[in-house]
Amino acid sequence: MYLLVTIIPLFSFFIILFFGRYLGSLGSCIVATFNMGISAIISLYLFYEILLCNSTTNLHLYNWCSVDLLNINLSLLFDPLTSCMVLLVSLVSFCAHFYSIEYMLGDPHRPRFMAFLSFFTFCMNLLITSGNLIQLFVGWEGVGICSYLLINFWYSRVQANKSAMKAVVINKISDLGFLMAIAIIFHSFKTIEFNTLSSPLSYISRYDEMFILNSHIYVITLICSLLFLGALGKSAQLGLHVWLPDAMEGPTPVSSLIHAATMVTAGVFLTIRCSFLFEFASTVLLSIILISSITIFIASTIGLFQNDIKKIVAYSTCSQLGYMFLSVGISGYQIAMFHLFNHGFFKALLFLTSGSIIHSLQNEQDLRKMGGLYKLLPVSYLSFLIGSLSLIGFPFLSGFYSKEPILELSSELVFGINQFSYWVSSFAVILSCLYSIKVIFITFYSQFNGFKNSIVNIHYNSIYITIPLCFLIVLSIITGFLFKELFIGVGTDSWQSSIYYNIYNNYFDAEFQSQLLKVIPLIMSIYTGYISLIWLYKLYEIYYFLVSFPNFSRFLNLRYYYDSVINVAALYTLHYSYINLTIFDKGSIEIIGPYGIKMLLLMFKGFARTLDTQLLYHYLGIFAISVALVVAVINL
Amino acid sequence: MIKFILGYLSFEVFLCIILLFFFFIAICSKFLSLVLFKQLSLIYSLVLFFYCTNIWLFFDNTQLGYQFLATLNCFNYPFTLAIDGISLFFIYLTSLLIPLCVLYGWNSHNSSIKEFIMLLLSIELIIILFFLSNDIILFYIFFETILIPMFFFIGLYGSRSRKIHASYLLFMYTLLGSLLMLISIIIIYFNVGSTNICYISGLELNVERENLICILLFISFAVKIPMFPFHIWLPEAHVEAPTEGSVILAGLLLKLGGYGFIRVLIPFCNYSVIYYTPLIVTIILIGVVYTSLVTLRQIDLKRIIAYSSISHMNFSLLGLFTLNSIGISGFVLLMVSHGVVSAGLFFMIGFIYDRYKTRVVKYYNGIVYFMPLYTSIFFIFILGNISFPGTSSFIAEILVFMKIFSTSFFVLVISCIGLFLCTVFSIMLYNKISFGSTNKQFFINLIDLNRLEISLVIPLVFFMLMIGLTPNFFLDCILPSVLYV
Repeated sequence: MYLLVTIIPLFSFFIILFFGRYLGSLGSCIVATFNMGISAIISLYLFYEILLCNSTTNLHLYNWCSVDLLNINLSLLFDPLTSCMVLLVSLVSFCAHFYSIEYMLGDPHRPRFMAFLSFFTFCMNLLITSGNLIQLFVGWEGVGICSYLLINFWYSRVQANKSAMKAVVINKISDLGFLMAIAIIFHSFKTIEFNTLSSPLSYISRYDEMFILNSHIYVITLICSLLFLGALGKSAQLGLHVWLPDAMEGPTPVSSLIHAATMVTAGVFLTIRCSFLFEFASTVLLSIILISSITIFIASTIGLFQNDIKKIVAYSTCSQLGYMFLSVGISGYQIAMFHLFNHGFFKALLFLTSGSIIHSLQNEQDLRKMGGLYKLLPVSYLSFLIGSLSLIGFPFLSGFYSKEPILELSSELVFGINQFSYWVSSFAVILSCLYSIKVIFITFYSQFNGFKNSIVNIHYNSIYITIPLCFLIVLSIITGFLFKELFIGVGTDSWQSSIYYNIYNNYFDAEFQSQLLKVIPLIMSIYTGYISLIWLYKLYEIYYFLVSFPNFSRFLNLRYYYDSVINVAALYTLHYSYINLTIFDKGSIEIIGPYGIKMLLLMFKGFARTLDTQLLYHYLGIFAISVALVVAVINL
Repeated sequence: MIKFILGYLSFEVFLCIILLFFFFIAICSKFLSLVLFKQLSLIYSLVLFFYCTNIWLFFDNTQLGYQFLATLNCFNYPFTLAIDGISLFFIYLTSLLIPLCVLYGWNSHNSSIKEFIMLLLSIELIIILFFLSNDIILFYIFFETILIPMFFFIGLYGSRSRKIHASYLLFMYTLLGSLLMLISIIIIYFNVGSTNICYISGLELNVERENLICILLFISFAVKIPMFPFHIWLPEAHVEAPTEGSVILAGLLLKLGGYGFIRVLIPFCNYSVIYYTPLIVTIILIGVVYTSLVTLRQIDLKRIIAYSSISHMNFSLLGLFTLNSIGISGFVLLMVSHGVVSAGLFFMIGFIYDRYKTRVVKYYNGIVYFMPLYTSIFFIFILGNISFPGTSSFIAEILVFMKIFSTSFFVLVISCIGLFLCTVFSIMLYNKISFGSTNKQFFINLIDLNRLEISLVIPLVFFMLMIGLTPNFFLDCILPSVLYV
């Protein structure tokens, strides 16, 4: 049972890979979806057994590599954290597989798509269920390469190629940070298994220190900052976020699976898995709070000025991941996990809905070319509305139960930066409200603004698309309320020892805080919604006024020029390597080597020719001089 | 039955059979027809591969030190040949790659195929004897002798007129290095009185003399590996060589230098190596980052993989100079895996060169539309190049990485930069060739991989995955020998 949930996606990948030719397009879809369905049912059962019945399981499969002290095993660790994530991944993956039967209907490469989706789910499951850091890294890199293959699914498109390369390259930076962290962990702890990792922790955190470039740093701070660097890149936080919006080049099920629910949550998962490591490195937690707060704010502002549905939802993902990291930074790991869980569902819903709209409108992705779909596509309207309301934190939907505790806890901290993070995140609630309403209004309420082709060929989506949407609608409404007490209730027992539960945190204070602070985000979001719906045209005028400043709108449209900075950096690297090539490789080293010797010999040739004069006394003279020299040298 | 054959034949008999059969083929080449000769040589190399597999099977991993000892008495001097855990895998790699090269050259070089195959078999013989040699004179002889067939190989069967320049570069650079090694051998012989590696390993010398020997040996191996200032022969030699030549160069010849490091340099000059390690590591780091940077601007397919080979070999040397059993196991495993992966990559490039007769990257675009099988297998090899988990380079790189941090944090960061650039150019190369829009002229050669090419590539993919997924088979044999160092 435990092994099945990890292996079934790999099994379906191999079936489609080798026998897809014989199964046909529909056959491979059926195989993949069926396997995912089995995996989802098993993960439900595992959720019941592990989380609700409190039975953590360790499965040691086989010894992968053992040299000296380094003992890498293939081992699965099923604790409450794992089962929660596995449930999320399996359910969303099942929805995405089911959805892409219809979404990729005319595509001749549909079996390849299904195979890659299954392989992706396998790598993600491997990541989640791993019992040691190296196996987590295997899954980590696996999802990176899968995202390359899936973003690059329509490989004749130049933009898709560029985005896929960008994703791989930026993920590699984070991979290397993670790998460095593993190396340092092995050096200090002499082990990489999660079970034994927490034992020497208190000793190492206090006594292990090193000197880098003449400055003193605790090893645990170094480990955690490198782990956070790894999580930064994978979860698209501020420094390495540029790959996420470009990753929307892939088909929509890819965006929903990879960039909403699973892969980008791998970074958060890593920090929560190593929560006990992070607890001992308070400097890193501080920097996490800072970076995540800034990400929440900046991603929302960029998302406000985008024109593509999928990009807006992508930036909203980026922003919500910032919320999760904020929660990690203030040591509320279970709230981060709860928000991850809820966010997976309603973000997948949002992505799949935008996919259904795009599919209905003959692949029209630009927001400005849609409109008036309120009457035409009711199911999409309903699901998008519920997904957005959940995102904003509308009372009693699932987003409300996970977002508000983060904000409450962040207002409860005692050192200086908490107020900053609290106010920034609350302001970002306004922004998320604004962009969600922008999308809903322009897509559904306003006049239709697109091409005739889109509106003439509009069609309802078939059952393959509507069933996952309905399923996710139900889930995004109920998961908040249903699992609230289980995950983030005060004094809950369900997490066992998988997450560090900070007893110094003031959860009671956060629960019974002043009504005003609790209600501020709610008021902000509802007020913004109210204002924007009533005074929409006025808001639009403000928007157009802002956008009319060319520099300002370019600044935001080009995403704060971050891409341009990276482009310039890459250009300089290429230019420098060209200089390397011409000046050093083909220059100096060749002068020391063959080219220089050739020139020397050519110069010597003229001189050597003049020596050979065919006159006897010249030869005798040279002979006499050389004998004299040899005698002199010998006597020395 | 296998046990019967190997039990019946002791190791010396096995060596004699190899040599005799080789000379038999050499003599017969005049009389046999083309097809029969090719088949005979293929059978010979496959039988050799079979024997090497047997040697691996019967290798005892619980013993430290050398096994399968054999003594030749030539000119009244006992030369010893032996296999231990490290040389076992290089011999295996050799016997794996040569049949593939013979197969690859089956339908090309129609006028001079006999000489081609004779050169290949002689290269195989010399390299196997090199890895077997337990005596420093034999070591030096085979280190130099390998240059002769390679010189002819690149000089005769290369593709354009720059091949003469390339083979001269290869020859001169390596010769210069080996001359320095000769000086150090002479110094060692006059201090120890024997040339057996086992005896010399206990060498205790004056500090200055040991430093001198260390520098001389280091330069001679540094040329072979190649390390930073002496690396320019490699791109030239790789580009101008035929595909089989590149495979042998990348797969085997670079390992000669690495093998020399671990067999000769570190046991002989213990204290000097520890003394010089910071300098050596600096040179290695410059090599890793510099060559990765240079690769970004190359336009020749083979040159990209050649520079990538330099980068990987230098990275594996970092593992060696941690002087720790994990690091050195990583070094050996990384060299073996690099042999397999680079051989695969060069074969892939050879396939595409055979079809379109150009190696400039700018002309290739959108191969995937009519060579999807090629693209998939090329992707697997590129994954091996960037050390994706599940391939062999990942395990080896993990082992090296774990121990680099013990050296210093700075080394870790700089080598990470090198690894990052490796991913960048590998993915750039793969993406440029395979995807994108395509040109009209590609439709002329609308053939995906044929059966010959698939059968060349499948063993390499198999080995890459086998080392990656079950490294314990290899590490069990490597580890005891590494501890001995």
